[in-house]
Order: sequence, then structure tokens, then C-alpha cells
Amino acid sequence: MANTSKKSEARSANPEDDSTTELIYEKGAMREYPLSVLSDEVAHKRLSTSTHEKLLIAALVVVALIFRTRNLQSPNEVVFDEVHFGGFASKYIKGNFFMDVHPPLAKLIYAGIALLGGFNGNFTFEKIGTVYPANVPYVLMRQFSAFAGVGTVVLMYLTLRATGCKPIVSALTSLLLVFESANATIDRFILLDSPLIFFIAAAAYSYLKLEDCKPFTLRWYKALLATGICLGCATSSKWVGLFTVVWVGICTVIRLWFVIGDLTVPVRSILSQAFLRFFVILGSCALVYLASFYIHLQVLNHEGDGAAFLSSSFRSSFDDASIPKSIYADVGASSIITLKHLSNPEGYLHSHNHLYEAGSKQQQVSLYPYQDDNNRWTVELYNMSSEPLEFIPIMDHTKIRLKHLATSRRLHSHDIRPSVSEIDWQNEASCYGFEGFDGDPNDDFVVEIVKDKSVKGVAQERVRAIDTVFRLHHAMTGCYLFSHETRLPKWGFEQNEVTCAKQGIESLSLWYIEQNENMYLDQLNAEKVSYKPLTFWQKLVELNEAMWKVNSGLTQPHVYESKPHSWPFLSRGISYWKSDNFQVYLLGNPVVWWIASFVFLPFGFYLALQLVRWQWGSSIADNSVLFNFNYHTFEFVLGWFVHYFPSFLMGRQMFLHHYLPALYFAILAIGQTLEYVNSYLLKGKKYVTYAVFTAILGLTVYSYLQREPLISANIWTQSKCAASKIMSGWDYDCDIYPNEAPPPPVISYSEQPKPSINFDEAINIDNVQAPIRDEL
Amino acid sequence: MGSSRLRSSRRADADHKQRGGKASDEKISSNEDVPSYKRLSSIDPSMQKWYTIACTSITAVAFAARFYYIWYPSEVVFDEVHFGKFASYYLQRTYFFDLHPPFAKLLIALVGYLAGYDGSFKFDNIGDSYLEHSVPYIPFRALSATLGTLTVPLVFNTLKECGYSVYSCVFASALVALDNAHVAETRLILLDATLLISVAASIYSYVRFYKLRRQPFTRNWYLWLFLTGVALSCVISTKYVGVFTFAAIGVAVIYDLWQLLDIKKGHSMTTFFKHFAVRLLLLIVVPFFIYLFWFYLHFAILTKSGPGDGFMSPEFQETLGDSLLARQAKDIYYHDVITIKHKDTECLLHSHNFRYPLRYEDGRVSSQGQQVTCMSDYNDTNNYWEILPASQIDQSNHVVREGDTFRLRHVNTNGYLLTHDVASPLFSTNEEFTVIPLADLEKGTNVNDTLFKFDPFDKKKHETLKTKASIVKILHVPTVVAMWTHDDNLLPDWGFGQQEVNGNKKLTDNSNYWFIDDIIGLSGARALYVPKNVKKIPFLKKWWEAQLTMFDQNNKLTSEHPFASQPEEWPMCLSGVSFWTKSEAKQQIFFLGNIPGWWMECIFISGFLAIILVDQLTRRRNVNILTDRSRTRLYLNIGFFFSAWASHYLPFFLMGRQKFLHHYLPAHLLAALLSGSMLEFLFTDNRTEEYARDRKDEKDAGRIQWTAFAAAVVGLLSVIVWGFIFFAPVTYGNVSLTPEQVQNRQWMNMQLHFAK
Repeated sequence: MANTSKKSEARSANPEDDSTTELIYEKGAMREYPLSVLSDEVAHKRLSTSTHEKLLIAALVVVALIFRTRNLQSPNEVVFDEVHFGGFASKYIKGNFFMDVHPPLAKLIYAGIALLGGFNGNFTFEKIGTVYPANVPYVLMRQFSAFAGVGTVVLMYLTLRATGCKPIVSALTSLLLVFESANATIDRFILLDSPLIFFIAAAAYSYLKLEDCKPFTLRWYKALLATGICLGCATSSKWVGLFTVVWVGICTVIRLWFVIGDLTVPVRSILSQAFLRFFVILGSCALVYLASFYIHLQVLNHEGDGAAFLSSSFRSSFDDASIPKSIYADVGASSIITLKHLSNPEGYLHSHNHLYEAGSKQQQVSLYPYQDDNNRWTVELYNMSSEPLEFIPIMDHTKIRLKHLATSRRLHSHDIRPSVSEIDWQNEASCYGFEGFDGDPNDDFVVEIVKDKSVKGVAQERVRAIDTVFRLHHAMTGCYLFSHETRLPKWGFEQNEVTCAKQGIESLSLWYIEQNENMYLDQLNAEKVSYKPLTFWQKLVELNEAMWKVNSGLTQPHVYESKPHSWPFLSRGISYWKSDNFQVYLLGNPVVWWIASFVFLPFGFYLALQLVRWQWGSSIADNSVLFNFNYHTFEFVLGWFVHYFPSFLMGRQMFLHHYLPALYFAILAIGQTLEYVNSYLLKGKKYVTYAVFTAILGLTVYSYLQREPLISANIWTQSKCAASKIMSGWDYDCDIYPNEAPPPPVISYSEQPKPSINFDEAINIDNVQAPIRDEL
Repeated sequence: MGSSRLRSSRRADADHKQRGGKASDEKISSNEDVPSYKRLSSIDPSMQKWYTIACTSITAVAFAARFYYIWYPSEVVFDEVHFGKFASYYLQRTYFFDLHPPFAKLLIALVGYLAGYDGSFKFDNIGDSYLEHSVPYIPFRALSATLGTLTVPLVFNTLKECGYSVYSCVFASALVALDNAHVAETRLILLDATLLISVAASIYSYVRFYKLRRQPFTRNWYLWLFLTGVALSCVISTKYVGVFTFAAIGVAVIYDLWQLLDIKKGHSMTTFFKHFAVRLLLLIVVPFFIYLFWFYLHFAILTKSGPGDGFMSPEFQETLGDSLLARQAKDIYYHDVITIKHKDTECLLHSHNFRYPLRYEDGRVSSQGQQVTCMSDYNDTNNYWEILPASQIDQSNHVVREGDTFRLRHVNTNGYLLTHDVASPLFSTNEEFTVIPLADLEKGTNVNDTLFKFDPFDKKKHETLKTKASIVKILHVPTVVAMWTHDDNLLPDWGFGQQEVNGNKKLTDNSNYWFIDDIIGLSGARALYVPKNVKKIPFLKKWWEAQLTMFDQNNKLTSEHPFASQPEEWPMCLSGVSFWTKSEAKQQIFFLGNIPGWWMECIFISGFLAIILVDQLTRRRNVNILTDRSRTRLYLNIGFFFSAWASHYLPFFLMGRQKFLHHYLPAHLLAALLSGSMLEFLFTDNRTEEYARDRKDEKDAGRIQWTAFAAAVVGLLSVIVWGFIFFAPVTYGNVSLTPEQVQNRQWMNMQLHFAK
């Protein structure tokens, strides 16, 4: 490499006017290194400042607006997950707490828009296919989704420009996104995906903008802050945004690696860059996330149907909390109490007049999350057959019995395996006895106060409501009263199983007393306790844990769920809505979809080839266009990978639209590839390039129009519908469309059974988690 | 940034300026020019004596640690349940199915064969006694202990071959020799001893091979490459974690091939492909055939049908001949007259025309019903019982299945077996068994008390009940007690000194098992034994079926185990596994590592990563602190150990099946190698000239600070020895600890028993 110096001169004096890429090598003492900051000239060329370009963007916006916002009022019925997100808007407006797996930002925005549109929250979006009444501003809400979609298109253009693509390439690629059918579909409805992809696109744009700016300039700081805020918005819309945070993190490390290697940048500058990037991005991201939850909790001040997922302390903070607010503190013999399992799951010790259908066949004992008279138990001393005459407190190691108030049977355990957890170390817990029965030794439980979990002071010495956490140690067999997530079968009303465990996890055998009444206490002056109000931080942590749990629990099969490995092939779509003659079916545009999903293959092959060539002694990345292409395509393919690969590790049900964020990055990678074709491969052959581009765009538009009726629920014909099914897995229903040809003989089609779809099975967490209330 | 730094790096190899990371690669080839005593991984001949002495002593220590109290406990411990059982199946040649490949199990079986053992004991439960069943468990365990002992010199010599000092070798091998986890795992009848020595041998052989890289295609070069392949095949033929060992060696091989691809060094592509082909042959093809060979042996030995039949296709099952058991096993039909045998005491369920006395010696009262006992005279017709269906509808030839509810009629007295809530003669807590005449039964009240149920070993399947082969509990349906008998305390004279039969409330008791011994008066087709027509299918087809079934079953292993743990807990040894307990003596074997030793490894691993990071960053800024020689050592040698450790550890994070601490042991072994080499690296003067101003003599570059190094090794060794001795009581299980002593050992999340 004797001629390195010459080369570097040649590269720095870039002859072309319109070049948006540069690669300047500086000669170091040991090796030469590329400069890490773009020259002003090139950075300027990446901005869209010329009038021509502004017109181009305006044209792009017009096209996007046409294809995104047309005919949004059709269908005028609830479509797919509008059931949830529309429903949440109504709950926000009424202030009823609900539980959902997604963070609140996008839902809050929809609620805000609905409120602006004059929605009073009296429509519940209960079923797919319900017709919208006049007072529901659903078109306005859908318009927000559509505008976010248009925004995404513009952001894609700007992102590609910021990474060195020419205007024509950027515009072409953005048009590919406009005509990407799946994006077009989700942008039409009240769904979280459209704002989510918008925020992700905004985060990607601000981050890449950051890399174009000179560090510590005002623009740089602005881009830095914008990156953090956009990441925060994405994360607060869906947790998928965290993958974008990871992507920005990895890209930052790669970037810093180049900056460190650039010996013209002083060490101090590197350190402060790294420090600022880390703290500003993560800090502002976290702030946005916290703020969204803060508003969420402020708005939802009523105990709605989601409160069953929360702890008692949390629930007592609602305006209309049903949790008792002040309770007699001291628990003694003949106290009537409710006993609550501390966590995982929370719930009251419950029994009812139904028997186990296996094991001992004695009366069932379970854990039940709702308040109910069957949660009430009387505390008895084990050796006291008659009523005490005065208040006798329950101390640590007092041996007690618990008598179920409604059925007069006592909590009991014995060496019989429970009906569900038939494990050696589990004993059954049941209720046993009858009115007037004195009890038997298997009813005896020893109270063992867990001192470090109880409130300091007297609560560690004797049992006090709420403050004392204790375990119940079965005197005869040495097991501990225990409950876990496992549920009883139908005959147990699918309530949580309660057992007596000899080896169980300690935290699952912790109990405390929530309600306490005792006739021997001074009813007026006796000391009372109540739940400590939670701080915002505690509420946030609890809420996020509950969301995570519900999210991992979403595992039951859904008609239209799909596995991640099938997504790049687009082997099947999702039926969003269907009526007698129209339907909405989520399906990608196969041309864009397949090219985007497999663009990593030629790129990976190209990279491998470059590596081998490098090992054989030729130099790589000496051309600024190539270097730029390598660098940014790698970033985008990485973005695709980071948003796609984790889906394989998730156990919950997955849907095709979970692939859309990854697809956005894949389309960006197409953009870079087209730029490579434009500025390197077919450089100077302008017309060939235009021909190629026109062909790609033409194919895309054709493919879009071919299946357009599936997007906007338009009229269609049977034959056209049948002709549009390229893949056998695309199971949209063609039989609902009229046949333009004379009707065929009666027997051939009309008798065919139509595949019926049960829309009620669309993801609905209300069905998933809440235990069935028993009628007692 | 000081200008002096920039100036001083002028001597760096100008040819490779642009390709920062490649400088080190070039250095390997330039080793050729370095005088031999300065070459990496060369050993001063005068030191040879010390290496021999040290290696012998540490091996002796390892031997002592593994053979100490090897006879104790003389009971089945933890997974000996499985691997002991498999050895028995091999010895009895009955087909079984397991998730692990056969090599290590065949070794164990070989030991049993050499010890002349017939395989009659089936290792059913943890805690079953070996002495009572005369099982040669000491030779079995000695196999593990021997392999475990021999792993230690392999570790020692791996480092020695890499050119490390005696101190490093001793330190690394002590981390393995005196590790409680290694000791516990390699003195019991388990697969891990074989696994660990194979992993160590793979690494050792590859190091030997790599040292010969400048004499390719010589005899020794081929030999060590071949031995690497053999060792690798032993790993993968023991457990499928062997894939990770292949990955570890694979990374090194790919790196090596990548270097050979650098055609500027003068290799031709022909040579490259020759290198590639030889490695492919000796590291992939040959090991695969060795792997297949073990399966060939496996199928050749297991020719009779056995407990593994159910996993295989019907076509496969037809290749298995009848075992002795299968010859005797006959289907039982309702209304057959049968004898019922207690599994533990081998007596037959019996009743006779005598009643229980009204009042026992201790004053308790009986039901005065007809006696039910258990006796060992097999020819008594009072042992005959007719098995009847629970409802009278089934009169046809109806086969009895496990899980069925039934009644038993005593043939001679024409009464029905019954148990009820009356205390038995010898146990006030257990229920009395009696036989009630048909007339009384027809009066009605206690009809349900004559209902019993076969509770099978495996609850999922309701297989046909067979004589001899079906081992079941007999549960009383209304009161849920298990029919039980015992021979420690016999009935007094009124019961003719026979064994008492009663209803045991402890359903999980291991002595609750019975089986149907014989069907009386069998004639015609059912009496004849029709030998099975054994077919043959090609070996490869059998292997492929077994292989697919193994993967399939492995994926289903997701159930929860109380002592299963997550990979992030392993390096620091945050939790352990209970192997065996003995409540009376408050003794236990609890599987945990020598925690101080494990923490040292973690420190060295983090240290390695920190140094790599700093070196990369500083070099990026043209600051060269480490000499090229040191960097070669750091990246190639220690880096090899690191990548081996990582490839044996990190993949576990992606695995969904249940995981245990012992899965970390191969990684622990490799981390020991890393620790030994890192320790020496830290005490070596690795600085380049300009960062070593205090250095007086040019020759001191690369010199070890012997005094400090020796002191550090002695200090660390004493901590290791202390840790080992401290945790030894729960490793060997031979010492009863007081609750306080147990609590002292409950570091982190250790759930030791008898802490209260």
C-alpha cells in the first residue's frame, strides 16, 4: 500500500457535485483512518432545501394522503382490534381503570382525539361488526392513524436522504411504502401499530440525523433530544419500541467505534459524546415513558374492570375503591377475617359449598381475587372449644384453627395429594367438619410471623391486620398453606388452587389479614390500620409487572395467529373484518414484502465475499459510495433483525402485524440498495436506472391495486378475487363477492360451506385472565 | 494525547498499517524467527522435573478427593436412579429409551459386566439400599471417580503444553481437583465424569495439534487431529452438550483455516483445500462414525423388549425379542383366579376361616372379621382370589386394565375383601383388612367398602394388567388407603405368625407395591407361550428412528423441577441441587461448587474481558501498551479458552428445557484453564518499552514477577482448600451437621436441608 496517500487525496477531493457520500482517510502513525464527521458540504447535500425537492416532498405527501385517507368511513363498523383500542378510549373518557398489555401513550392519544370529536364514552366497541352510532367520531380517530401513516412515508424519505440517498431513490422507496398494502391497511383503523411505526420511524430519522451533524452543535443537541423523545414515544406505545432502543444502542456503539478510531477527535470529546448520548437518549426516553404512565393513572381514577389485576394497596388509591380503608388492627381469637395471599397471585382464601372431585373429595378451598362473603373465616384457638370471654391476641407461634363462616367447616390438610398438583411435596388443603363438630388435629395451623416482611414494631410480635405477614404451618404434617398460579378445573370454577406445601417457594406461602372484626375490641377506640398509599413509582412498577404477566399469559390459540418464521414469506394474512359483500384482510404487498424480507441475503453474500477478498489482500471500502452503502445497509438490516428475531423467543400468540416494524427497516435497506444501484452499479447509465426503477414501482402499484378491495373494503368480483390469490395460504373469502358472469349451475358453488370466523376470539384479555365468578 | 506515544509507535510493522487487527496474526508466523526458548508454549527442559512432581501430586489429591468415602452412602443417590437403572437394562439386554446417547452408559454397563453383576436391581428410588440388593456400586462409582481423577492431569497438561509455569498449571488443576461440584458429580454413577474427561481431552488434543501447525501433514499432526476427533466424538456420544464442544473447537478451526486462507503467506488454494478436507474428515466424518458405532453396540446389546418399547414404532418393536418378564407376563381377565404378591416381602395375599380376636393385648377392639394376612407358602389354596369388575354388567371376557376399579372374592370362603375405618391389629393408625361373606354384603351397607383400584406406576397410561410385569398399588376407593404388609412385626399366635395386611395412609410409601403373581388354572391358548417372531430392520433405519425420538422427547422436557436453575445463576454458583438426604442422621449430599473457587473464575473472566476492552480501545487511539507477544497470548491462547467457555455456557440461555447447575461443569472446567492462564498473564510484565520506564533491563520484558506470583498462587490455593473442606460435609454426606453449621453453609440461595 505504498500509494495510500495518493488515494486518500483523490477521495477527499471528491469530483462529483451531487455526491451525498464521502470518505476521507487521514494518515495516522500506524494506520490510516476515516474521518468520523461529514464535511459541511456533503452534510448540506443531504438536506432537502432546494425548491425542487420541496415540491417533490409535497407531491409525495399528496400521493400518500390520497391513498391513506380516502374513504375512511367505510366500513362503518368496528374492525378487528378497534374492539380494544376504541374500547380503551371510552374507558379513558369515563376514567374506569382497565388492564392492557400495552403502555398508554398511543391509547391516550386516541382517547384525546375521541374526546375532541365529542365522544362521551357511551359506546363500548364490544364486538367486531357492530355499526358505529352517529355520536362516535370513529372517522376522526381513523384519520389520526392515517395521518401518522403519511408522516411515516415522509420520514422514510427524509431518513433515506439523511443516509446519503439521492432524492429520486428516496422518493421511489417512500412510494414503495405508500403502496405496501399491510401498512396501508393498518393505517386506516384505530390500531396502535400506525402511531407505533410512526414513532419508530421518527426515532430512526432523528438518530441518523444525529450522525450527520457535527457533535455539540445546536442541530446535534436537537437531534439527540429528538431521538430520546421519539424512542420514548415508541416505547410508550408498545414495548416493541424497546427493540428500537436496542437498535439505536448497537448503532451508537458501532458509530463510537469509528469516532474512537478517528485520531483527530480528542479523547475528551469522545467521552462527552458517549456520555451525552447515553444519558440524554435513555433519560428522555424514560421520562416520556414515565409521563405517559403518570397521565394514564391520573385519568383512570375509578376502579374499573382491570382492578382485579392489582394489589389491594394499589386499589385502595382509586376514588371509589371497594377495598376497606380502615380496619381494626389487632387480630384475636374469634376475629372474623379475610385472609389474603401476598402475591403471585393475590387473592383471598376462599371456600364454598362444593366438593373436590378428586383427592379427598372434601370441600374445596381456593384463592379468589374478588371480595365475597365466602372469603370470611373465624379465627379459633386450637384448644378452645367455647367462646373466649375477652380479647386474646394471636401471637407468633400461636396454634389456631380457621373456621369458614358460611359453611362452618374448618380449614384442614392431610397427606393426600391435591387434585391438580399431584406432587409428592404437596398436600391437599380442604374444608372439613360440620356444624357442632369440634375439629380434629389436622385443622391446627401454627402462625409463623415473617418478621422481615412485616411492619416493624408490634406487628412482628402479634398478628395485626395488613401489617403482619405470616405463614401458616400445618401442625401435623409440617407443610405450609400455599397457593400459586395453577388453577382448579371447571368444577373448581377455575379459581386458583390452594394446597399445603412441604417444599414450595417460600414467597408463595405468605399471607396477611385484610379485614378483621372482633367483638371483644373496643368498637370505637380500638386502633385501626389501612393500606399505605403507594407512590407513583411503586404503582408504575406494579402495573408494568402485571402487564408483563398478562402479556406472557396470552398463549391460547387464535384463528389468525401465525409463527414468526412464516412472516417473511407472507404465507397468510389476517381477516380483520367481514360483512356480506365486503371484507378487510391484512395482507402485505408481496412485491415489496418479499424484496424487503430477503434483501439481507444478497447483502450478506456480498459482505462475505468482501471479507474473503480482504483476507486475500485487496482493500475494501475505499470508495465513498460503497462505504456508505455497507455502513447504512448494515444498520438497516440490523434494524430489521433486531425487530424481527426476538419474536422467535416469545411464547405468546403472534400476529402478522408484529412484523411491520421490522419491515419498515427492511424497506429502508431496499432504499440503500437502490442507491447502490443508482450511484455505483449503474452509474452513468441514467436511463437504464430509470427503467429499472419504473419497473419496480410499476410492479408494486399493480400488485397493490390487484388486492386493493381487501384494504378499503371495496366492491370486487369473484373472478378478480380468485385471480389475486397467488399463495394458497391467503384465505380471504372470495365467495362473498358477486359474480359478474352469468350465475353458474346451482350445485357447483352455492352449496359450499363458507369458512366461518369467530371474531369473538380476537385477542381479548378480558376473557383471558379474569377468573370465573362463582355464584355463591 | 502525548506526542511521544505517536512517535514511539513508529517501529510497528509498516506493511500492515491499515489493518490494525491483523498485526497479531502476523506475529504468529513471526514466531518462527524467535529463538526457541522465547517461543510461546515451550518449556525449559530443566523444569520438566517440577512439572512431573506437581502433576503427580495434584492428581493424587484429586484421587483422594474422589475416592474418599466412595462407599458412602450405600444408597441410590439422585440420578443414579437413571444411570444405574440403564446399566441394569444393558446387563439384562432389555430395550430402554433415554435422551442421552449410549457411550457413557455403555461404559457403566461394562463395569457392571466385569463385576459380574446380573442387573436385577432397578434403582427405582433415591435412597434404596445397595447393600440389601448386593449391587456392585463401588466399582460403578470407581469408574466415575477414576475418570474424574484423570481429568485433572489433562487440565494440568493442557496449560503446560501452552507454555505456562508450574504455578499456573497447579492453580488451574486445583480449581478442578478440589471443586466440590466436580467431586460430587464424579464420584457417583452419573454421565458427567465421562463427559468432563472427554471435554478436557478434546481441548488437550487440539492444543497439541495446534502446536504442530508448522509441521502439517506429519504423522504426529495427523495423530493429534485424529485424537481431537475421537475425544469430540466421546463428548457427543455422552451427552448432546457435546455440540458445544464441537462449536468451541470449531471456532478455533475456522480461525486457523481463515489464517491459512491468507494466500499472501504463500499457501496455495490446493493446500488450503487439503487442510480443509483433512479437518473435515478427522473432526466431523470420523467422529460421526464412532458415534454411530456406539448406537450399533446399543442395538446389538438390547435385543429384548423392555420399558423403552412404548417410545418406538411398532415396526421397531418387532425387532425386539421377548424378555424373561415378557414371557411370563399374561393378560388378566375379569373372573380369573389369581394370586397377589407383595413386591418387597414376596408374600402372597391370604385369608382363612379364622377371625380377628375381639380384643387385642393392648386393649383395642377389632371388628372380629375374617383374618386377611400375607404368607410365603405358595401352595395354599387360601391364596386364591377371583378378580371381579366393579359393576356386574361386564360378564364377557373383559381384560383388566391398570387404573380399573374392581372387587376381590376369596375363593375358598366365598367372601369379599374389604377394609374399613377400624384400626388394624398392629397399627392403630392403619385400617384393618377383612373378608366379608356375600350374605352380609347383600344386606347392603358396606358394598362400596369392597371397591379397590389399581394405582399404576405411570398414571398417564392405562395399560393392560399383566402378571409379574405390572407393578401397582392397590388403593381402597372410599377411604383412599393403600393395601400394605410388613415383615418386621408378625401377627401373634392367633394369626399363625403370618404377616399383617393393613391399609396404609401413607400412599407414597415405597413398600406399597404389589403385583399379580399367577393366574390359577390357566388352560388352552392363554396358557401357551407363543414366542415372538423377531424381525430385522437395517441399523441406520433403527438409529434414525431412535435419534428422532430422542430429539422429540428432549423438547418435551419442560416440566418444573424444584432444584432446576437458570444459567445466570451458574457462574457464581448461586443455588444448588439436593442429591440425597438421610433424615435420621441429618446427613445430606447437596450439589454445589467450591464457591470461592467459582468466584475466582468469575473474576478472571471479567478481568480478561476488561483487558481486551481496554486494549482494543487504546489501540484504536494508537496507544500500544501490551507487547505483541503478550497480545498473541491474550487473544489466541487465553481467547481460545474464553471462546470455549462461552460456547459451553451462553447457548444455555437460548434453551427452553429444564436446566441444572451441573450443566455448567464443562464450562467451569474451561474457565479453570482460563483462570490459570490469566493469573500468569497478570503477573507477567506485558508492557511495551515506552510504558515501562521503570524497567532497567531490556531482557526483563515478558518476565514474570515470581515472588508475587508464587505468593498469589499460594494464597488462592489456600482459599480453595479451605472452601473445599468447608463444603465437604454436604459433598460427601458423611458428616451430620448441626442446624447452625448448615446455616453457615447456606450461602446465597442454597436450600440445604436440616437448617432448622
